Formats: sequence, structure tokens, C-alpha cells
Amino acid sequence: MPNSSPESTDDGHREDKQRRRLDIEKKIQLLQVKSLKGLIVLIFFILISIGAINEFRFLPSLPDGVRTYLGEAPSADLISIALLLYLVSALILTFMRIMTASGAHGGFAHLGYLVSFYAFYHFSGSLTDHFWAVFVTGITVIGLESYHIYLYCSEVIKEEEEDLNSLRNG
Amino acid sequence: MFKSITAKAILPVALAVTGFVSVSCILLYVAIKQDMIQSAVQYETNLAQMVVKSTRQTMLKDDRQTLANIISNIGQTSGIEHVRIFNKKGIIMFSREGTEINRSVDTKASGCIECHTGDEPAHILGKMEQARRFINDRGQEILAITAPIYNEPDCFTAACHFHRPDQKILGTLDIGLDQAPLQQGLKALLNRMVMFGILLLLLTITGITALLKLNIFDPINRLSSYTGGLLAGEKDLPFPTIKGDLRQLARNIQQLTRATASSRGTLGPSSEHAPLGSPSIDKGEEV
Repeated sequence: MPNSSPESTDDGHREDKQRRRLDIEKKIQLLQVKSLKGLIVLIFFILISIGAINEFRFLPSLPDGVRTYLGEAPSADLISIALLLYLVSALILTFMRIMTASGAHGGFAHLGYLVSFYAFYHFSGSLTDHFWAVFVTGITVIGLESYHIYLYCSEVIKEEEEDLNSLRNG
Repeated sequence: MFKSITAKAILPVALAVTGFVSVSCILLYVAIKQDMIQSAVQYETNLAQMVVKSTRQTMLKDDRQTLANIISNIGQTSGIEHVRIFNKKGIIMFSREGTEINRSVDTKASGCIECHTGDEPAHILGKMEQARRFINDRGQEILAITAPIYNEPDCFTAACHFHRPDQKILGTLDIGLDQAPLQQGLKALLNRMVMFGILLLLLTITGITALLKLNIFDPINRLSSYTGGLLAGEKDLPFPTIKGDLRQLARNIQQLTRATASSRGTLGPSSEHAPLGSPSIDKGEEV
């Protein structure tokens, strides 16, 4: 059996270390982008809220046919109950993610739910009264998620940087 | 700042509690506001019905002078912004303001358009449809009710004058009340809710912070300073007093420190006075 020479073993080891170093650097970059995702969702939500506070006047009104097809909007009280349930569930879910140190997050799904609440209140004709309820819900849920993701990514980046340093020093 | 253990423990809880309390207060305020407005509409509808019934006899007798006096007197009452009676053509026949009499109103205006949307005016409206809210020239918020005066059998069979039996509405009464008391009530409610919310948040966050500081942060900080001092080469450090759930962790660190020190033969003088298994540890009073 041919024995591998010490030089080729050293080269292989060096290549392996180089590949690992590149992998870690790539992972750190991805984590840095991910840590900003919460902030991006928050900015989108604030932009949509600016439209909502103006009753979406910049959008064309819904054609009568579509309105008839959709039927009568649910009452504002029902939408409010749904909003409160959504807030509680989203907070519990985020706390569970914090507890299990999971990197998962709702992100754009939360944005979708919140825009739906704006739309339901708009069609029920009570968006002016309920705007602040949806806005505060959004800031709370997205804010908490963003903070969780920021902390999670910071921790993982720190671990990866320690690995990177040990690779460089070793 | 946001990465410290204190921030990690307190910020999410503070944010969640603040958000939940704020949303609950906003939804509660909006619901109470709607209920109060509905009550005001109900009260005003009853008031309009009362005026219509009170003036019925004068209408049957075609006593216009007395009717004008009644309308004028009602209009003088505090909190009433306007009171008018329109005929079926939309001309003001009686009003508190003499200058309004014999003037017609625009059927497309707020309070009129609700009935005048189709070719034929609607005869029956719900209570909320009869109501309209607007800001008058003096900047006051007004809640007005438009109550129809229906044609009844004794109207078209009366001796003095008569209307055609097929005529459903003879005119309308329009009465508007200043909403300042309602607005003041809502403002007071909002202020109380804001105060309640702030106090609740302060209490929650202060309570959580105090308990975490007492049970977690302070013991960890003391242990961290102690182990940091040992690593820095300080030998005469007194072991910190730890109570609560972290006592076992402190006990383990103390034993490890002593084991390491005795194996190196560098046990400090303070440790000599507190040997392993000392009464203070066994009693669980102090580590």
C-alpha cells in the first residue's frame, strides 16, 4: 500500500483548514444579513402603516363587483378579538423561540397578518379608530422578533468568530 | 447594551407587557367610545321622539304659533345646538334660529343624503343611520338626529286640515346636541387608562427587575468577580455570600477553588478559617 508523504498530508490539512475558514466566513456574512431581516420587516411595516393612517387613499378603490363577491366585512369587535388572539399567540411563539434558542422567525408572515388586519378594519369602516391597536401590535411582535433574531445571530457570530480565531491561530 | 444579560432578561418581557397592555387599552377605549356614542344616539333619538310627540297636538290643530314657541323654548335648552322642523319639500318651517325659517336645505348634505340616495326618499332608517356627527362653525362637535314625522290616521282625517292618506312622511324633525360632555368623558377615560397602563408597566417591570437582580444578576456578578479575582492571582479574596437557587453553584465553585488551592498548596488565610463542610454551608444559610 502506498504511504502518503508528510508533505501531501500537510497540504491536505492546510486545504481543509482553508475550506473551513471560508465556510465560517460565509456563514458569518449570512448571519449578519439575517440579523438585519427583522429591521427590514419593521421598515416595511412602518411604510404600510403610513398608508393605513391615510386610509389607503393612494390605492384605487375596490370595484363594486369584487366588493359584492367578498360580501359584508366582519364586525370591528370580531376583528379586535382576532387581533388580541394573534398578539398573544405571536408573543408566546416568539418566547418559545427565545427559550429554545431557535433561529426561526416569522418575519414576512407577520407582515402579512398585520396587513390583513389593516385590510379587514378598512373594509369594516373602522380603521381610523383601530389603527393604533394594529400599529402597536405590529411594533410589539416585529420588535420582539427582531430583538430575538439579532441576539441569536450575535451569539452564533461570536461562536463562529471564536472558531475562526482558533483556526487562524492553530 | 442590548446584549447584556440584564437587557436579555428584561427587554423582551418589558416589550411584550407594554405591547399587550397598550393594545388591550386601545381596544377597550375604542369599544367604550362606541358604546358611549351609541348611548348618546339612543338618548337623542328618544329626545327627538319626545319632541315629535309633544308637538303632535299643536300640529293636529295647526297651531303654528304655539309650535314655534315650543321649538324656540326647546332650542334655548343648554346643550342643544339646533332644532328644526322641515316640511316634506325640505323647507325649514320652524327653527330656534329665526333666520333659518323658510330656507331649504340641500338633500345631498350630511344628514339628508341618508334618505335621499334613491329616486324616492327612504321612509324608515335605523337609529345609527338617523344620526350624523359634524363640527359646526364654532368648532363644536355636534351629534344630530333626523326623526321623520309620519302621517297617521288622525293627521289625514283631522277637521282642520288634512294630508293625503298615501303620503307617508309629513316632515322631519332635526335636533342637534353639543357633544362636549361626551368628549370630556372620553378624554377623562383616556387619561385614566394611560395612567393605569403606565402604573401597571412600572410595577411589572420594576418587580421583574428587582426579582431578577436579587436572585440572578447580583449572585452571578459576585461569583464572576470572585472567580475573576482568583484568575488574576488574588489569594485572599473572601468568598461571596450567595443565597437562593444559585447557592449550589456557589458551593461547587467554592469546593473546586479549595480543591485546586490545596492541590497546589496555596490555600489562602481566609480559606483556612472556613474549611470544607463548614457549618455555614451545611445549614444552608450562607456560602
